[in-house]
Amino acid sequence: MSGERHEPWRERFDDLKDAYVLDALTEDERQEVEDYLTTHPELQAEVNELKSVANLLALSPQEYEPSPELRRELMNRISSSPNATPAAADPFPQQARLWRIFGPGGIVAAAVLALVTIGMFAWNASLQEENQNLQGELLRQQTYAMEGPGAAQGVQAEVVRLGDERAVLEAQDCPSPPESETYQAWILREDVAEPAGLFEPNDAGVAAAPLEGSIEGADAVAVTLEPSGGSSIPTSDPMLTADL
Amino acid sequence: MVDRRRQYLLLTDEDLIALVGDEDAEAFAGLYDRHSRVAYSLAYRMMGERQAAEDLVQEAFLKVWRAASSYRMERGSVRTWVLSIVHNRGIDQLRSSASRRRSQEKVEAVAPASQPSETFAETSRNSQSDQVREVLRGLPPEQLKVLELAYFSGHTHTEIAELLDVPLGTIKGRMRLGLKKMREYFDSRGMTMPG
Repeated sequence: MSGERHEPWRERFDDLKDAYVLDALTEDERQEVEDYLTTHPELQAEVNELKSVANLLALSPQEYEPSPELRRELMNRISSSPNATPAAADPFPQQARLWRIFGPGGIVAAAVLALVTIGMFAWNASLQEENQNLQGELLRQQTYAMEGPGAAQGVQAEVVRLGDERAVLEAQDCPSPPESETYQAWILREDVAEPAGLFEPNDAGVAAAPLEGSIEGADAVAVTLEPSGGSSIPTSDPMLTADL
Repeated sequence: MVDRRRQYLLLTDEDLIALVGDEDAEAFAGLYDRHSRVAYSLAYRMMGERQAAEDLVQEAFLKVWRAASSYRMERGSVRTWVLSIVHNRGIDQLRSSASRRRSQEKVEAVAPASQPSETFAETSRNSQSDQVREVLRGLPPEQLKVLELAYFSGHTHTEIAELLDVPLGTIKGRMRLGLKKMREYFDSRGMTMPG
């Protein structure tokens, strides 16, 4: 291993990898690193880890709100997107179009295309079924109202269970946390509080935070105010709790 | 009956991106609402002007719409994916010579950073962003400058060495130390790196 580290190409890789993850190499240098990675795939994990550090820089700029026009323009553009999946609708118009394109002499080609089309419809139907299953899962959800000092202050929150393990904490009329603090969710299991994610409400006071970790077998879900960045154990009393 | 909008509010990013891959415009709107602010903030930091930043965000989200099915969870979170699209496209644009001159001027103007603004005050409570800002505030200014010139302004390490008139080896060292300190910040607090 130490021999490898003194290999000139390895030294060159080590010399360039930081600039590589920051996208600060010339095209030739970038290619050099990628060629080396192709022949040394065991180094990819190291690069990925370094890249995840560099990616954090994207979160550091001052925050600004894009204009509402941008959202409208974007939604208009995707609604006319040429790659929209055809709806699983009446197949006959499509077959008629194929007939017009290929004419009576193109039966074989049309038949092949029809089979492909049917395959596409079947695939589309399968995707729709998947979608319906997902929505069905939501409809089978169980909700648990959260109570506590936070609720007394007007926060309406509930834990929505999606299947056996997943859950989402949903809150309304939730004020922004104090400066340098954040809301943290906890999954309580046998008197142990497991961190389940940080969340903050949007400008309308609404928050929807998927809980991190399984709630299977959990006793309760709680919310506390914690210093920015969260805590490994709760440092304040729960402001909201829900028994599961 | 749970209404449709509420269902989307409850879905994870990964669920939404799967639906976007199925051309679900409502799911796309949900993803946009969750991530457009951070995407636009990155774009604005890179491009330095509102219109160019909005164009970049629009281009990036159109790519999300068209390429949603290529998203792979094991490579990182949906937010990281969206931001990497913004960043890559922004770098491409900055490296075109015309915009490079403009951005270079802006980098110098923006470099002191941390200007107070109402928008910033309103949103600075975002916890992950706060953590990242905190670690960057702890970096020596010369390391921070090099990271910013590379990441936000699209300069290569050689260009940065010329711009700052310091040896290339020094620039590489500052990049390495800057990234190392960012990593150590998260490790020392037992925090997992935001994906």
